[in-house]
Amino acid sequence: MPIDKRWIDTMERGIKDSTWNSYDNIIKSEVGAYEKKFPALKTKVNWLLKALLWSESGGPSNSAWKTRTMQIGNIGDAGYGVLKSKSEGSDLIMNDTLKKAVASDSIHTPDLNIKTAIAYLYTRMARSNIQSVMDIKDVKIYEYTVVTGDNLDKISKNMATTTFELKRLNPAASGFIQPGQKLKYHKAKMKRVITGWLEFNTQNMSDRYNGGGDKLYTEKLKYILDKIFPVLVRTNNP
Amino acid sequence: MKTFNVIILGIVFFAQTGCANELPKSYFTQIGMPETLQDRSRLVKLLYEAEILNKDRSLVHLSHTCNLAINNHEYPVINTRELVKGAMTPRGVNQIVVLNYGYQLVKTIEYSTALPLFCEGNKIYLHGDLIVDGFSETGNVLVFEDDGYQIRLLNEDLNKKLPL
Repeated sequence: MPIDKRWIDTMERGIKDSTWNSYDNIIKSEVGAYEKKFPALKTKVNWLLKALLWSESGGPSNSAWKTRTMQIGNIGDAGYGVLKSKSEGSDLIMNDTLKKAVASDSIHTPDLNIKTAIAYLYTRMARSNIQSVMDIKDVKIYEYTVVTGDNLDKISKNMATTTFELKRLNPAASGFIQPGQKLKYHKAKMKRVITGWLEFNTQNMSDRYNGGGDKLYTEKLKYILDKIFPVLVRTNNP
Repeated sequence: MKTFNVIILGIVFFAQTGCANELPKSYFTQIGMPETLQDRSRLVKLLYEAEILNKDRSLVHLSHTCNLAINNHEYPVINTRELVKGAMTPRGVNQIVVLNYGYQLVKTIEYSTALPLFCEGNKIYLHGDLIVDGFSETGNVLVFEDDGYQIRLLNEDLNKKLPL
């Protein structure tokens, strides 16, 4: 199925109209901040995000341009809820200012809507899972003597560590533990940790941001990147 | 945990089994036999009540894909697709919903394009790779354990399963 001609016409208006450039600085500054926070991020995503913004907003003639520019926070949208509840690892992505804003403010202004949307995209592109993480403020190795009725779960809760940490430092404890046995441990907690990132490309961004709502979303992003951005008449590109 | 009672899954079971009399007992409740579309609408209503579906979104697809078999019980798998209304570009909320043999919610799994294709035992085979929050690995097969509450992902070559 081809991309709708009206959609192409709308996007092509951005070639010469510099109003479409209005939010480049927000994109630049947000991407810069995330690259600094997560050095593992290698792909330059400014243009990909700009394509996403154009596709989501529909450009300056659309009312969304000056409200929910990136469409996050529309009624029924699941993305805003993810950030508000700090779920799916979004608390690892957002900075404190954004966390407060998302929790208390309306995100129906372009600045906040774009920042929220970018945070949501990074949340969805991050690969994370729950791991045992050592307490970096207390790296001392403690020792515990097993008493009758103990099990690793009980010990980990009482000693502020994890069963993973107990097994790691005491391989023999992976099977049975016996009263009198001495176990070493660090203080540790189970925490969500970012373990990697999906590649920032049109396909992954489409899947993770659009959620499969628009079957042509990947093609639309590619169209903007390949057919429109190379012929932009601009002075201050991102 | 959100729980709800889904009374019956509806006409799709007739389509799969051919005859209502052949349906396993667990598909029937105190209200009796499935009554085709009425049951489908009841399923939709219950999914809304359980806040799996959202009235602010447009429901564009709902189907019973297959039944998982876990510990000799059948677990219906429902595929739902919704769109966020009013967006310049429609954003999707797609979910694989697993119910237990009492039609209570066991698990919902969000997907973008990896739609559920068919079940085999305690596995759901998917169209492409699925990313699940909290899992490092991706996979095209969802495996259900612990009465459906625990999942893991596998990669299998689906070509070997095609009847070609």
